[in-house]
Amino acid sequence: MVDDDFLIGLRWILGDVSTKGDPYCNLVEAYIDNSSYSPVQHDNRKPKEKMLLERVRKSRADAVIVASAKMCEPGLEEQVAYMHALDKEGIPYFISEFEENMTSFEHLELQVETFLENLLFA
Amino acid sequence: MKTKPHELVGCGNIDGAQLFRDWFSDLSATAANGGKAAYVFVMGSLNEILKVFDLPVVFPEINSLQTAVRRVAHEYLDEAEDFGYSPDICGYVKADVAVQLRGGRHPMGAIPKPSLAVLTNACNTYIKWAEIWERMYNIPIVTIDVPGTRQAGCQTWRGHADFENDRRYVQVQLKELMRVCEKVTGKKFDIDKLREVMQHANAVSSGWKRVLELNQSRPSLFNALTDGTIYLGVANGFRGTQLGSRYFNELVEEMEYKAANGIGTLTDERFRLLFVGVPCYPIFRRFNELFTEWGGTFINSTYLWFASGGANKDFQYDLNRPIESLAEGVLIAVRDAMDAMFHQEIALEEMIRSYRVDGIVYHAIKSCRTVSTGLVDARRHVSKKHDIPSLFLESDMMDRRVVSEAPMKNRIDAFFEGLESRRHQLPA
Repeated sequence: MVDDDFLIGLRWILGDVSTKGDPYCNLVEAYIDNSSYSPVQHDNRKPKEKMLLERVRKSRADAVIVASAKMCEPGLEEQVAYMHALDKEGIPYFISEFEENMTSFEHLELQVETFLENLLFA
Repeated sequence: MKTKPHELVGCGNIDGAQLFRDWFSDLSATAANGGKAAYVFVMGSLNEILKVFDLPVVFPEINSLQTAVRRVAHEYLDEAEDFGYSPDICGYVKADVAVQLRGGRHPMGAIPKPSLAVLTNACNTYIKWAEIWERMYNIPIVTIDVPGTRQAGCQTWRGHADFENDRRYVQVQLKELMRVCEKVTGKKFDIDKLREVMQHANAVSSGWKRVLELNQSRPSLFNALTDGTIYLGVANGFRGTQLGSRYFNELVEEMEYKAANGIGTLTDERFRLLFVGVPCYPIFRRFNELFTEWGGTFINSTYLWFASGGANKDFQYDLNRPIESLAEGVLIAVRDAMDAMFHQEIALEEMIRSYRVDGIVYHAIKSCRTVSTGLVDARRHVSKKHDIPSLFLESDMMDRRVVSEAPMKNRIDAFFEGLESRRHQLPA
């Protein structure tokens, strides 16, 4: 894995917050103007699929794994936009919906192996 | 004005159905000529402002449930899932996505494309749903962020500093919506027209309250599940219009006539029930029959509360201060609708106090975790305080793949057998 958006809340602010001037104002500006993306945020200046594509390019990833939690409806809805954006760019991807109380992973292993073989031999 | 019994009795259903057909006919005409339309939702449609700009309103929630009532929802759901939407996503959203993919073709006609979307934060799905339209059509979406109840039983009201802060917050956003409407329609905001629209909305709200009160009659005058859905549709689609206010004035006349003459529904009422949640639309008629076959009638429902389009608290707008009053009304109505999802027990206890209730039916749906998650807790809470039998069903309001009539019938039959047995055991 060359990049991910796990625990994106912990990496929400993308740069240092200024320590000069009003600290509340600086925090607010950092939150609004210098932050990452997530399915539960809406900001027309940073369309989520665009930021995903930037992340893919910056990391020089060959493919994307989209893992959506079944309990998270915003994430499930967002994955459709990701899918279509990746299709448009011709970037291979694998989508998996998982349950948070999953105990069996054989089926998922099979799917991932098949996906990777596709990448290697396609 | 209807005065004869044969004109009055049943007019709510007949006229309501006609209003619906006219509404969809107008929407089809708008779609055909490429006219502007606003996409809105039942919890906070802001019809009051949109009507000032003569914007036809489209309720995708209502469009979607109509596909289920007409037994074609599965085609729409399949199409959306083929497009990439998960089976776990709200059925209403998926049916609407398919309508959009079909260029607006719908069983009741044609749905025009949106020129803007207006939503509140009452439902988390609204926000993602509007994003879908934003991506498809590049339209402005206006989200009105309405502060909710901070804690059950701790709502604030006019005069309280927190309430006034919340109202001002909503008011600023309503003004933003007005500016967007001016830009989209090219028309200027007209405060006198707003007063006129709000006057009609007042009539709808007071009519709605009266109709619900009258259903305390024995026998009940209408079925909250089936007839109620028609009334809800008009309350939403025609809020703020002369047609809407006239409809509810006549509906009140009908119900008062029925109450005075002891005229109930077509069911020989034996058990009076409350319904919690959204109906099972894929087998709508049959679902209702599973109860009416036992003499069970639904006298009220939380659905008639949170989905009434703002009529739920019978807030009467003060036309002397229209914008401030509109903000107040939106705050109270939408906050109350949100309470319907997290504190159903409050509405249920109020209904139990006012209506003679024999049983409560909770209907958890796969499409909506937001509402369904708390139903078990609400049931437990109400059961501890009131000795009223209840039934818990699980299916969906759109997806027939998770609707099984046979096991549902078994559960419902057992519930009524219990009610019968209980009735025989209670002292006369």
